[in-house]
Amino acid sequence: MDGNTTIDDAFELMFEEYKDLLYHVAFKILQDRYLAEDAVNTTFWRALENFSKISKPVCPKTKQFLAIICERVSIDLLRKYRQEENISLDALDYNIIDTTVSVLPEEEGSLQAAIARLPKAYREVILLRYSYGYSAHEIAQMLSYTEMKVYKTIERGKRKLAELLQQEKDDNDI
Amino acid sequence: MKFTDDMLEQMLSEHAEKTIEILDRSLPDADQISPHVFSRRFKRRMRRLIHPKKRPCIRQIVTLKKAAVFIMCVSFSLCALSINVEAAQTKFLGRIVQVFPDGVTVHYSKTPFSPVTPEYIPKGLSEIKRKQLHDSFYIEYRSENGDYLNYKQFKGNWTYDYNPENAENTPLNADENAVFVTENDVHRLIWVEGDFEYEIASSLSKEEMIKTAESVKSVYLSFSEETSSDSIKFVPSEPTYIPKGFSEYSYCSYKNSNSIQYLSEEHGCKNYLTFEKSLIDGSTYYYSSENAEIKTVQFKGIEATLVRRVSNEIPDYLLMWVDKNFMYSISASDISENELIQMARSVRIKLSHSNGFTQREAFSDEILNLPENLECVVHENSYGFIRMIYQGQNGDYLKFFRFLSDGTDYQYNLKDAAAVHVNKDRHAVLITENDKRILIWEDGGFQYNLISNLPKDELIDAANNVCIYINIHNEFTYSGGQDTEKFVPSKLKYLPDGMKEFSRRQHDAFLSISYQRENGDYLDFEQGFTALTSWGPYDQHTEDVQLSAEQDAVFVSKNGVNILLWSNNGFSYTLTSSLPKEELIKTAQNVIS
Repeated sequence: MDGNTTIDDAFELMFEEYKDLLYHVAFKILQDRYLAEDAVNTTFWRALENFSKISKPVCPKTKQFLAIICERVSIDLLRKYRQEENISLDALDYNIIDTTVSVLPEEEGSLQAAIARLPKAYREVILLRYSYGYSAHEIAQMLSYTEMKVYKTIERGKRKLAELLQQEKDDNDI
Repeated sequence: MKFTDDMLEQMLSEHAEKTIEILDRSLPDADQISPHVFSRRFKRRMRRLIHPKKRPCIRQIVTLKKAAVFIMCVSFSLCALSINVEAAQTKFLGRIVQVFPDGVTVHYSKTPFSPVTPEYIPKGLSEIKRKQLHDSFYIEYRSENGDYLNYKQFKGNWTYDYNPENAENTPLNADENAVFVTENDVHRLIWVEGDFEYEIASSLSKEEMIKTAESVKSVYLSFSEETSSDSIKFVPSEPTYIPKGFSEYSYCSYKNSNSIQYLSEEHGCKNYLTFEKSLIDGSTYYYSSENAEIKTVQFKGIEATLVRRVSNEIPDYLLMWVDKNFMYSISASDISENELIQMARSVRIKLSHSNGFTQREAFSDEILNLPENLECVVHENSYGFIRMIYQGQNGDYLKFFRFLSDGTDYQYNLKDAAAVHVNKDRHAVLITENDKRILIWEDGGFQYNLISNLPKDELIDAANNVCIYINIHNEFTYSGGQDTEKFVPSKLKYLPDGMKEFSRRQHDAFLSISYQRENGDYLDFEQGFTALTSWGPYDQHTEDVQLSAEQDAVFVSKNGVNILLWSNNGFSYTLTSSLPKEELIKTAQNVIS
């Protein structure tokens, strides 16, 4: 980031660029404009708390980061307001959020395509850890998880990734 | 082949980042999403996040009112101003209180409202009704075939209630934007220009509405026009009767207002009670009367307006009155009307005030549980600004600043900053520059800075202790003195080699600029009104020095921190630095007042 850019400027730039996208993401889950605005507001708070690792206010990486946080915040809000504590996270993920990821033919077989195909709940934690470089503690705070849950999710994600890669390899061998 | 944990770890480290490109395609681009018209509530909350330092003073006073359940600006619907409903209007000690079926407005100003009429009126329409109130202007046009156009001009800060899904942004006058709303077959065009807000509601086409809107010439009221009419000095007051169970929680004092918040904690429930006094300044407040009763009560020959609203079975009260050019309000919930009125009856001039500041607690206890071996060497207060410098034998230092957060701004390099929390939930920014750390946060209308070479954890610990103390004892009261003098910031014509501006803070009675060198040397320049500044006490390390034939200064040195203090033309100046005395004197000699 430009050394002369202040946090305020960078943050405002990020806000202006992504506020509508985040509203779109939040509204898709919450179906309520007030709650969706709350989710967007909380997302930007969390982004500010973790701003030190955001390299550019406007870039695909930042966009993806904000979307991950916003989805998680929205799901938490939805859970709170529906008082459906017994809804599992995975059920919400698969029922509410479209997890389809389009992989181009030339990307087929690549490791990044396999990561992209991971279940969303695993993928987002893995990306926050390995692509954004956040610690388990930071991820836990961002997603309102326990640290133990972060470790477990990463572990399960890795196992799933190994499964996907093995399957791909077996398919190619055939 | 079996994928081991190490292999997966390495693969993820190398390839996770590239996955972002694939995932990016699953998110729509900005131009593929229809823009959402965010609510005022959202914008207000985001403003606090984006520009926490740029709120004007009056906004902060309004922010304090948040504790009260009554909200300042609520939906002012079409029918509220429609003159079909007869508005009860009473003169209230020269101020106007208007009671509408859905709310009450209180206006405190002698400044006349400046109405403007559209220069273009669509063909066939003719004016059938015109009404001007103290803060709004309304014209109704009708045509023979039943078409209508209602034009409204407001002064103030209204919130319009509409579903964003029914709204679209519409360009107006090249560089302005309006919102076009269609709800229940009614088209509305809403825009803000100059110092007013406008609305056109019509059965005509959108194009005709825009053409009419573009023919409205904007009007600007100067700030001085609003405020200069009153040259009355503000004196803080406080209620001497406080309902049982409540104790003072925070005290805030501004140039023309003071506010005291009391807190009661019973059965784990927090209950707030807020008293405010302000000089009448042209503000207009609107209180919703949804689920509320509004009535007039009397005490000590004063007529007051009492708004009682019931939400969640707990009554909320707002009592407001005007007495001798001052506006008073008490907002509370879950107390009786009698207690509220008894409290209002007990309001007195704050006994502890004097020309300057009053102090309830010892200065040196400003930060509880100071890191070991630090002692206070400088403390200073002026115009709500507090500066304290603590030093240790081993070269450790801790500087503490507290000042009113009114329009102050500062800049820092993003790469050096991190977001942290202080006092449980306060968002703070921690800036690290070589060995120097700066912690900045806001609390209760004040901005706090801690500057130190101490480790991050000790700095945050000190910050936590400051907050706890301040929350219990917000102890400084400014009661006038330099109201009419204008603060003119000075400039430094000479700067020691390599010094670069690092941060700058300025408000209407104070200027502070921090410079630093790459090698860690620093120089802080501060300017304030002499009459509002007190220094010391300093110990035996002071020395009288001469800046010029007519200009004396005091030099203070301890543990590597050098301070030069002098006064000139009604202003006090301070240079605090790691640089030698000679450099400070040379810098001081080149300050252009």
